[in-house]
This record gives sequence, structure tokens and C-alpha cells, in this order.
Amino acid sequence: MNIKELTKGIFKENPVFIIMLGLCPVLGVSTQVSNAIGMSAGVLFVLLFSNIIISALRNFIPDSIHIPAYIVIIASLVTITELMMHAFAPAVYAALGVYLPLIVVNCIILGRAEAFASNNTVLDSALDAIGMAIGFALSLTLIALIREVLGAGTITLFPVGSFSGVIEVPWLVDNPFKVMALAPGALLLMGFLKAFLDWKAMRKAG
Amino acid sequence: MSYIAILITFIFINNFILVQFLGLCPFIGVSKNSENAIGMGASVTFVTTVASVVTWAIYHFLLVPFNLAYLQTLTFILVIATLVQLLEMVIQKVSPPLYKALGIYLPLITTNCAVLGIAIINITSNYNVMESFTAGLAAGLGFTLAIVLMSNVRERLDLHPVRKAYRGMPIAFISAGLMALAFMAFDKSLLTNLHLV
Amino acid sequence: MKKNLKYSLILLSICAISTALLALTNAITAPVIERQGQASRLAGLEAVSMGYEAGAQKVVTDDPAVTFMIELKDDRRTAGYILGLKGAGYGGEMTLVASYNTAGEILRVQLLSHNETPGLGKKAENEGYMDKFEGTGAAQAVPTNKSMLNSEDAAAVSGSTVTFVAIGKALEAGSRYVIRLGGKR
Repeated sequence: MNIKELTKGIFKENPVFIIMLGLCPVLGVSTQVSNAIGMSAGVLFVLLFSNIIISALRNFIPDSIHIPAYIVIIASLVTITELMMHAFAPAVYAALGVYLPLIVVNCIILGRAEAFASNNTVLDSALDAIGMAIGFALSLTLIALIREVLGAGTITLFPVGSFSGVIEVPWLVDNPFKVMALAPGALLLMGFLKAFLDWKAMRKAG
Repeated sequence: MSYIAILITFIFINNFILVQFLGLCPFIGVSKNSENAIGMGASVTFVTTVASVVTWAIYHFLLVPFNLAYLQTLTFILVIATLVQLLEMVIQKVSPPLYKALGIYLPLITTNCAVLGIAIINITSNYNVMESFTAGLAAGLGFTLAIVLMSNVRERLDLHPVRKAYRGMPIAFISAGLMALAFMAFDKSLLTNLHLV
Repeated sequence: MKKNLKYSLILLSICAISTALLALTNAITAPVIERQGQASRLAGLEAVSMGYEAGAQKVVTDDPAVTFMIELKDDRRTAGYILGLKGAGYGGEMTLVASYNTAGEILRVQLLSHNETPGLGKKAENEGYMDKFEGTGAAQAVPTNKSMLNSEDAAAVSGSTVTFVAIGKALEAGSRYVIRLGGKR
């Protein structure tokens, strides 16, 4: 067991900003914080179980058929997530739309199965999955937070008791930068965030 | 919806890459020069079109009659993976020059969100088989348009001084964002103005 | 050959186990999903029925915008209709239910599902958004473009014209449908 497997996914090998995998859902569902959290939960579930199952079966699945075997395992886990969300979180299910089944082709999941789970122990693979999923969730939520605050002037969480689930940001709610809620805003924001991170990394390297 | 409306919708209004972010990985990865971009675009268009029709048929003739709609995601991804393999073999046999041109892109397409995306969108939009075919073709053409435009932009960018922190990915995303801004000019009211809906 | 057979068996067993798991999950979730759909539909109908007694639901096929109708009764007299409507919004199809009186005037509107952009078309979820449509349809035309609104309402829909026009057009089609129904009687 190696705790480094857990932390590397959060910063050093962050799937979104450093490896740049699985960007379709990141940009597609980041219009609202609640969607970002729902998507992260879906990815965590699928990634964790796919890593555990694939690493447990790593000596059983022959090399030449590993891709179709992995795809079947991942697709089943995604379908389970889909059905569960449809039944128990219908609002999130509706908001995620086509991006939820598309977790199947999310490069993070197949990428981690190939690169890590197929030749590491179950425990390390689980830690790797949790770390990667946290890294994914943090990046996705950050992007969604920036886009929703600037683009709609709100922060949408989940309704609890008397709290409606929507926090309004004064001034911005009446004068939102609408472009941030739309497709171009997502791409521009991704570009500027990546440039900022590269700049930080360069400064650190000297 | 008429076929022309579907074509316009998927090429311009809901462009797969610039509006829906489907197929973003190859869009950023294979857009460094226009030759590769055209090859990738042609392969994707081919696969989205064939996959649209095949997945439509499987859904309506196999999954729905046997009450297995919940197996949709699993079947579609397997069908697409098999289809891509088959296409690769057929093209290799029938047209070696075409295989030489497209061969390296085909294996990458299985995990391209655009293909699974259009298969699912055809089902959720309740398209019939001809509409699915048109949507698949249009989605592929929209993908090709965006990736070819992007490769031209990036070829130009190579000749210009770009600040160090922006080189590579960041400037690619920002260029894509500006392109998406231009595509916002196409919206649903375009269809209304053209009297297509 | 023997190797191929072994590989096929391995793949087959993985597929079989996965399918079995999915069937199990589906058996658990399907009834919940079904109940939910019905509950949200009932809540929508409740919200627009204005206290009238609702009849049985009939599927409508002769109008592209109308999906179903329910007759509203007030002491055995037809008081109006609830229509299920669909419109093409910015992010795809939207579904609405609306109640009309027999003259085709809109009484209440409820948005059931949509896929609009937060901050823009999503405003249609806000309370009071439908006020500008309610009461139109008979003496007053249903607003289907911005110039038909007062300046305050026009400002409220700016940035989401597509959503507004889509709702307006669907409601207008419903109103025409109700008027045609009246003519048949």
C-alpha cells in the first residue's frame, strides 16, 4: 500500500489539467455546480469499481482480449450508475443527459484500467481510482463554480430542508456574463486556466 | 424535422465539438496539421454514419422488442467497437489506398465520444432510420468542419510568436473558444427564419 | 484453436455476469423510475387543473404540438381542457402541460421538462415566468415574439428568446387546438 497512489491524482497527475483526459464531460456539464458534483459522483463510482474489478481479474483476463473485456466491465458499471441516478436522483440524471452514458468512453476510466489497474494490486488500484476521481471532481467543480458564478450569478447546490439549493451572487445575478454559461466560455476558461497552471509550473521550475 | 433541418442543426447549430464538446480529445490531439485533420474527419464521418444506422436497427429490432432497453449503453459500445474493427478489415481488403490514408485513425475512433454520442442522441430524439442516417452524417461533417478549421488555425499559430505559458494546449483551447463564439451566430432561430420548422 | 475457445469463454462469462448484474439493477430501479414519472406528471396536472375535476387522458395524434388532452369538468359541464404540449427549445425538446378554458384562453401553464442553459432559457423555471402567457389565447393573442410583450416582460426574456418563442408557439398551437375542439361540438 502506497499513499502516494492516492495523492498523485489530485495534483501531480491531475486527470483534467495535467493528463488532460476526459474533457468532454468536464466542459459539457460544468454549467452548474450541482451537475459537476453529480458527474463526479458517477465517475468516482465507475472508476473505483472498474479499477478494483480489473485489478482483481488481471491474471484471469488474457492480454489479447483485454480491451473488449474492459469495455464490457466499464459499460456495465456505467449502466448501473445510470439506472441508479435515474431512480434516486432524477434531477441530476436529467441535467447530465447524454454525458452520463458517455462515461463509458471517458478516457480517464479506460486509461487508468490500462495504465494502472492491469498491473497493480487491488488496494493500490482502489487508491489510484479514489485519487484520480478526487482530482477530477475538484477540477470539474472548480470550472463549474467559475462558469456558474460568472455566467448565471448563482451557485446551484442541492435543496436541503428550507434551503432552496440556489445561492445568488449579488450584482452578478442581474448582470451575468452570459457567454460563460455557453460553449465558448467553457473553452476559453479551460485555455486560460491551463495557461495559468503552466505558468505556475514554469515559475516553480525556474 | 426535415432532413435539411437535421443537417443544419448538427453541422452548425449543435456542432458536436464546438457546442456539445463531443469528440474533444481527437479535436485537440489530431489537429496539429490539416492533412491528419482531414483523415480523422473523414474516418469519423464514415463511422458515425454507419454506426447511426446499425445502432438504430439494433435498438428498435432487438432491444425494444425484448424489453432490454437498459442494455443500450453496453450494446452500443460493443457494436461500435466491432464495427470499427470490421470497417478496418473491409477497407484494408477493398481499398488499400484508403486504408493507408485512414488506417491509423480508425482504432482511435472506438473511444471517440462523438460516435457513441450520436448513437444515443438518435434514440433520445426519436429519429427514424433515415433521420438517424442524416444525423450521423451531419454530426460527422460538423466534426470534420471544426477539426479542419482548427488545424488551419494551429498551422498558422506555429508561425507566430506565442507567449511561453500559452504554447500548446492553452492557445489551442482559446482558439477553439473563439471559434465557438463565431458558431454562436448559428442558433435555433436560423431554422425558424429559413422556414424549416 | 484451443486458445481461441478459452478466450471466447472468458469474454462470454464476463458478458454473462455483467448482463445478469444489469438485469438485477434494472429490476430494482425500474419500478422506482416508473413511479417517479407518474408522480411528476400527476403533480403537473394537479398544478394546472384549477380545481376542476379531470377526466381520462386521451392521446392526441392529429396535431404536431399536442401530445395528449384531458377534459376538465365542472359539475358534468366541460369547463376546459388540459393539453400536453411540446416545443423545440434551445437545448432540445421541452414538454409543458397547460389548461385552457373552452374559448381557448390559457388558464395555467407548467413546464415539465427542458434542457435549457442556466441563466438563460432556464429562467422559464422561475415563478411568475408563465404569467405573461396566462389569460391570453382568446381575446388577446398568445405572445410569440418579443414585440408582443410590455417592456418589463421583454427584458425578462432577453437572452432567452428561443425558449420564450418555443413556449409561446406551443401554447398558441394548444389554444388553436382547443378552439377547433369547440367547433366540432
